Amino acid sequence: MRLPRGSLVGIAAVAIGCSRWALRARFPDGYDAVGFLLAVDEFDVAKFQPHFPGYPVYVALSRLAHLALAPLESAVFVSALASAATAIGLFSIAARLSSRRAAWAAIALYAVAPMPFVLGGAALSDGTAAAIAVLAFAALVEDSPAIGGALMGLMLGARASYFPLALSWIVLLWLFPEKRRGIVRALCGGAAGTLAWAVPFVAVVGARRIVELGTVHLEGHFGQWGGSVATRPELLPRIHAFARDLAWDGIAPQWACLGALAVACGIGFWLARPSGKGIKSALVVILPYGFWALFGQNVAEQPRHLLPLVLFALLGIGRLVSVRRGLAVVAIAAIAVAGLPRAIVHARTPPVAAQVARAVAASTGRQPLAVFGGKSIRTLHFLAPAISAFERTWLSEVDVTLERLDVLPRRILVTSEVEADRRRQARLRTVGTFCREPIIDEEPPCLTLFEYDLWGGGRPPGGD
Amino acid sequence: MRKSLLAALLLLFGLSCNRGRPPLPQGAAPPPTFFTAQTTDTHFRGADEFLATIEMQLSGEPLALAIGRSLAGYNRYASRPDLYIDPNTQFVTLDPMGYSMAVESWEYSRQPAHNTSFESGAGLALQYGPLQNPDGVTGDAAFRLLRDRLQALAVASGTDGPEGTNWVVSPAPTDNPLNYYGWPGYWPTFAEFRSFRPEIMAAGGATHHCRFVFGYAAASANSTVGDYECGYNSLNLPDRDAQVEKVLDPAALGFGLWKQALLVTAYWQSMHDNLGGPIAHVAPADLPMVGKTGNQVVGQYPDPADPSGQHMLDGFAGVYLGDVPLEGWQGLTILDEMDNKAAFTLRTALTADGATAAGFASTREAIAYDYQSPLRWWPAAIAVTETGSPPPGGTSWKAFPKPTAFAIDTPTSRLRALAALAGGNAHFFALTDAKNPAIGGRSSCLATFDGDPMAADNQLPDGEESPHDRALANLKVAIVDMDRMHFDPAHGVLVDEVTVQNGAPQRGATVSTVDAAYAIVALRTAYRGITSTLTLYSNDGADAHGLPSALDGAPLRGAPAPLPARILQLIAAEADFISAHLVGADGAVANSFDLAAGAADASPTLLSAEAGAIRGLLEASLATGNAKYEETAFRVYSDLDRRFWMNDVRAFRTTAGTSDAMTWSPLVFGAVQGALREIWKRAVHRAGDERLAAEVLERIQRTNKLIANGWDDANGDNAIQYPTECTGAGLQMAERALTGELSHPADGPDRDHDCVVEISAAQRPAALAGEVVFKRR
Repeated sequence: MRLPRGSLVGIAAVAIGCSRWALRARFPDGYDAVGFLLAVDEFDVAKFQPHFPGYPVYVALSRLAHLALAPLESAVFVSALASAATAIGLFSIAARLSSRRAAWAAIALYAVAPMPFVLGGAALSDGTAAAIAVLAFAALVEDSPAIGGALMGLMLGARASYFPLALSWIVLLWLFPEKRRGIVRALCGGAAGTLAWAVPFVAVVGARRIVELGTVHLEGHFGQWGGSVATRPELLPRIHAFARDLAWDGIAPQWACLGALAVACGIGFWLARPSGKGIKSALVVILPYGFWALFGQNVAEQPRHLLPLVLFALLGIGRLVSVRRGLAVVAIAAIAVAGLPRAIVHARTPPVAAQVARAVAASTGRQPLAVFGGKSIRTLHFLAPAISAFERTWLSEVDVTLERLDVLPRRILVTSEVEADRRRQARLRTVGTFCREPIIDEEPPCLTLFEYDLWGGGRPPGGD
Repeated sequence: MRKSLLAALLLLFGLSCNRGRPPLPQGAAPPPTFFTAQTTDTHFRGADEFLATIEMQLSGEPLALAIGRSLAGYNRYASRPDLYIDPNTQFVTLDPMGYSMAVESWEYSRQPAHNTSFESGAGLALQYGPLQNPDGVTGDAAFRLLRDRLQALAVASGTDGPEGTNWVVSPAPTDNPLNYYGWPGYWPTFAEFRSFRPEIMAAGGATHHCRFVFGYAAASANSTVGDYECGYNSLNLPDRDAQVEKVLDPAALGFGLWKQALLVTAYWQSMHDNLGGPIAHVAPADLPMVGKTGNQVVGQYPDPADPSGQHMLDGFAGVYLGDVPLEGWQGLTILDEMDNKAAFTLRTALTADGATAAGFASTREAIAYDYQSPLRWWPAAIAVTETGSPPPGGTSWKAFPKPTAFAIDTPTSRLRALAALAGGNAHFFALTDAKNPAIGGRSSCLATFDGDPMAADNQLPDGEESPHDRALANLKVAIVDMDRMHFDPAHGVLVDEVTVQNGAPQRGATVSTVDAAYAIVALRTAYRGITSTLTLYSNDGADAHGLPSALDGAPLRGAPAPLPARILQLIAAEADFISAHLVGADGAVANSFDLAAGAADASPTLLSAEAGAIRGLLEASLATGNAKYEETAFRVYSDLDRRFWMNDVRAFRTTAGTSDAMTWSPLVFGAVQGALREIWKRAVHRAGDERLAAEVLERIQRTNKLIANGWDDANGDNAIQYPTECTGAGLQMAERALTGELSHPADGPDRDHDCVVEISAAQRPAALAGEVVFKRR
């Protein structure tokens, strides 16, 4: 694979990586992020460190970075590095298939688009997997099927749910006669790339255990909490969520900016008249993953599943707006105006779970304390491991737990994630409300912390 | 064209004429329900409640199996009840008959026993049981005694563990006013009060089980139970002193013991290993290690692939008591309570003069009681004085009330009480009887009564301070007193009540059918118990005579015959009297007989009397081998069918001649359950009675669903049209997880739409009401 000419691209890629690092997350973004951070010290899929399928490539890279950095910084560093690599890959693809002007437009758009920006500064595997995928397609474009195959194998180890991209990659290889002769090398490369992570993964976890965990995970994903069409079958809401994830969360979370972008793209389309061959290739890449994401992934709550589509969309937008400099400026400005504030919030405002954790940590005194909540408890555990914290669904479960503690805490805090029945509602007293707009995953923007008064006086009647 | 049209019209006209065809019958659509119902008394009356639960247990799982159902085919947590998945075809059908037996009758039967045993506090606290606390210490000393005992039982049942890891917190919490003993709100009793108002303030609200395991182990934990399944603080009586009647009735104690023994026998059908799998057999050399912390005993269970059940497979290392951990913990607590109750009824609840409560000084003295010993009997009512006050609101009991005085309220001896004590202690004895292959001889019982956790015995009737000899002693005293005091030799029958004047029994003149019948049931149970032939659910064959008995070595001066033979004589006498004096030629049953007047009670027959007569006579036929009792029972059933069954509404009258209102109580319900079940068991094997057998099953289903649940399937489609087919009340006041209520607020008060609401919605426990009246619309 030939690197793009000129060191300017390299400088741009580094700048992009640095921008992600500068506006990186200072706290884990949520449940899954905590899992990756815990995995940096102790890799245990059974403990959701991280959850199945384990993301071994991303975890391995993070552990490597951990030699010099703390867990959060090491995971985020890998994501930032991946961002830089993505920029190089996008440039390469666009330069080859369109023009250098389109390539510069693409990475400029990529530099400011909110979803890639935020994920490039997060402790999540999405950015890394997307980077490897983009580089694999770049290798394909550059006639390096063995490298491309190896990268596709590694991509599966960074994020297995990107498997449709691997299928698309092979189809593209087959579709173009000039590429077809490289298929054997591609498959060999794929095997090598896969084995590079699969062998140590199986050795560490155990084959039988992988099957057990995988079975439970897939049953849960498709049967209970995965957000796929199996558990949320209503099609129109899914399509709406898909479109929102792609256009709003992925590219321009502001109506005026989105409108301006749409106009710029429309004009560019009319002027550029993209070839049928180009559209056909794009569809080969977009449609399989698009269908998979639409029906098999949690598009309602996790827009980041659409990151690969966002990247290819940016390539397409770059192609369209590059026909006129003015159009490119409008498009880049629109995305920057809409997206950069989100990246700033991501860096400057802790997630609500982290805010709750800080508030709880600050309020501990001498009295025994216990906190009950939902998914935020995992963040609390990570940030304040000394505090007794329990993940519970209902206030009745809180009572069950309290009855079974060795020492009844004198102060009991409950987050608004815990459902309170009418009878118990009266025992809750608001301590504080913590907010941040959803940045990565769709979630309630605010969490309220309550004090749970079992006896309406703060201590047991007649007790000490 | 015109001709064709005309021909078609003529043809149509011809077809429309119904000349020569009778019109189809036109009937009125049935109303949504035939009845409305109202709970007129919620009191939990121990004797009647436990008698009913005994019959309900026998009419539960074993009856479902007998009619060919697979217990595994029912999902009690389904959002609608009565679904049955046939294991052979996998077809799903509506099966209210089987469901009402396999699930509802069984679960409704055991929850009242759990209620009084360790949930509500409606009895004397185990903390002051005569065995648990022989010196009567109070305060922290009493607390430590009970805590240590309960913790030991948790270990033996494999339910112990640090907070959040197992059912019972072990060691017990050091500073938690919600849980002092390891199980929150545990209120173990050893002697149930005669009656109490059972209203509670169950907290309600769901929980994903009582232990919290995370990671992938919890990923599939989608079902919930009510939080009160994990802690009983909100199931304790909220105002105990105001709600309980602090009176002890030996009939309540006896039937309570009987029910507890049946429950434990069911729970002791196997042990379990460290992974919760059933273990049926343990090598004799390993029995002492069963239930010990960290034991590595490997037991065996029948290979599921072997229909003969002969081939055994090894379980996992570590064997503990109880078929499953939770039932092991509950069962061991109940066994302790039973043993303390047995000691109490021997040492305290008797009287020699009708004025002072005073029992035997030792079990040895009790087991030596015979026809020539100074008379001692159980008075019908003993008032109890307690000291102590409830804990501060919202916290758990730590120091339970201490009984400080026992005063005889009613010195009369009652046949029903003696029957209850005889039957209850017979089943208790069976658990300890190593010679009984069906119960006490099983590995599970051998591992329990081997010194730890329950005292061992040399299997001789020599009066050791052991559960074995205590049960035997109680049983003997009950039988001897039945004979000495209640048997009227002139009329050849046991009378209901006896008073004692100057040391001599003064027999009453009344023989009630129900008491006579259940005396037979109890006597037969006692006979099978002491001859080591008593089983849990298979007492359906004719009894063998001439067998050795567990009391053969005990003194029996002045007895008219050896005890086993005398029991059979008493059974025959009772059955003869019922047949001759209480059952007419047409099968009509009198409620009672006045020996002084020499006449049967002329008042309208009660359903309980008819059912009782059937029950007693069928039992007598098995005991004695005399077929005439069975024939008489079938004659009574014909009368039951003729005078009590209302075909239009498919329900039994509870009083002959009264069709507009039915008054049901646990006693009536239990007697009917028992009678119908036993009639079915005979009819199903009698050539020519196939239709009768099928009809009986339909009536069992109808009675279960209408009377217990309050579901009136007026249109007979076997599907609940909810809520229009709910009558408004049923004997079953409320229900819990094991019959479909998961206490999730989103589910509403009746999640499974079976007309029985969840306990936190009803604010009543899962138990039978004292009385429900059903009125025709």
